[in-house]
Amino acid sequence: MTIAPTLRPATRADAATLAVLMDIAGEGVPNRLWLEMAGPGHSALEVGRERARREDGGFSYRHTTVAEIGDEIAACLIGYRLDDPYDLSGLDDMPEPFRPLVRLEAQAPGTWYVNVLATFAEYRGQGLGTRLLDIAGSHARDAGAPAPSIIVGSWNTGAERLYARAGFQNVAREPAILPPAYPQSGDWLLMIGPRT
Amino acid sequence: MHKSQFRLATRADSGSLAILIDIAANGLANIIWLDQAGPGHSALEVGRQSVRQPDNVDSYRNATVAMVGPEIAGCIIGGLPEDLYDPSRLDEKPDLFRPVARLAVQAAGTWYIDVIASFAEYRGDGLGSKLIGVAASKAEETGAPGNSLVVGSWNRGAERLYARTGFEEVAREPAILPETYPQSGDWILMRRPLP
Repeated sequence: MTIAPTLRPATRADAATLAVLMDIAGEGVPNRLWLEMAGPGHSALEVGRERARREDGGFSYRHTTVAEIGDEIAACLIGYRLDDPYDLSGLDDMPEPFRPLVRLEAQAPGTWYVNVLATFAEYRGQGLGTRLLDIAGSHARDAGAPAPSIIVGSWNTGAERLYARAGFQNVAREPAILPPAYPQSGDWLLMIGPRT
Repeated sequence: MHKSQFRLATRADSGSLAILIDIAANGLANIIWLDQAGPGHSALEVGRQSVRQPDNVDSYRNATVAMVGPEIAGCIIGGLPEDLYDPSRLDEKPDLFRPVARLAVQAAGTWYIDVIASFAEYRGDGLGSKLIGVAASKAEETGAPGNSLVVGSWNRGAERLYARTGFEEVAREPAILPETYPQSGDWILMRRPLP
């Protein structure tokens, strides 16, 4: 049985929960970046929360819609319109793992880019992902973007199927650069959703 | 000064509580969760799940949160050590926390503060003293004669706050910290009678 979620824009008070969802969507890579930023002996997780509290940037609560079930956040969507034209000049200064992602973003200028789409384990399989992809489509339309876009790891076949069912199509791929200990490997796939 | 209000935590607070636990532990909680999650998975989600379990030491059920407006500013997590720790099973605790657990069981009968933490934006605002006040009420409610806690000897600011509010050292254990850590020293068990 599916319980209808309540959808609302995120607030700063949601930042800690958003940090958890970002780390889930990023398969633990965000935590590794926060660890580097925090340095040994400090809380990396607080760095994650602070990034979600910022007023701008790719992970800001201001670009976020949350789906609540009862009094708990069950899932979130973080996204924004990509620049058009997309400026690739800073690419070489970026940490290597991000470069393939940025090269793919550059191929979807002006689209409404889904940076984070994540559901807590307890709430998966209830259609929340599909519901939030619909919202991404509405945000794209409201922002005057031609379509929503998303990047998924080729190893993440369940997610890829979900996006394909929602009308997203593969348009480009780049080999993924993941931390050496990671069991995952493959390509990042850029997918574009239905035209608005 | 921010106006803070206190309420019992709910499961919906688990993400915030996981981060506060990591803050209180100088990042050691994350290190343990990273190990439990394994590469390619979210350690922070492991932490959140751990807080959601009703029977864990750091369960939301043992937590009170300080609210400033709609935001969680800090928390206190604790209880009677005899309810939180089984002295015959301390070997099962992660290496990093075993000395802390060994100290905690020595404080049986007191209301033990396992976690006391606030987010950076709310520090230096008297919130720590207020949370210690909450711990005193918890002790009173449970009929315990006082509170106890464990602090790292490198954590001078916190130790001063506890000394100021009447905590006194009763025991210490050498801390075993990751090699990369700039901190080093002892874990110190402190107690205070009810004011």
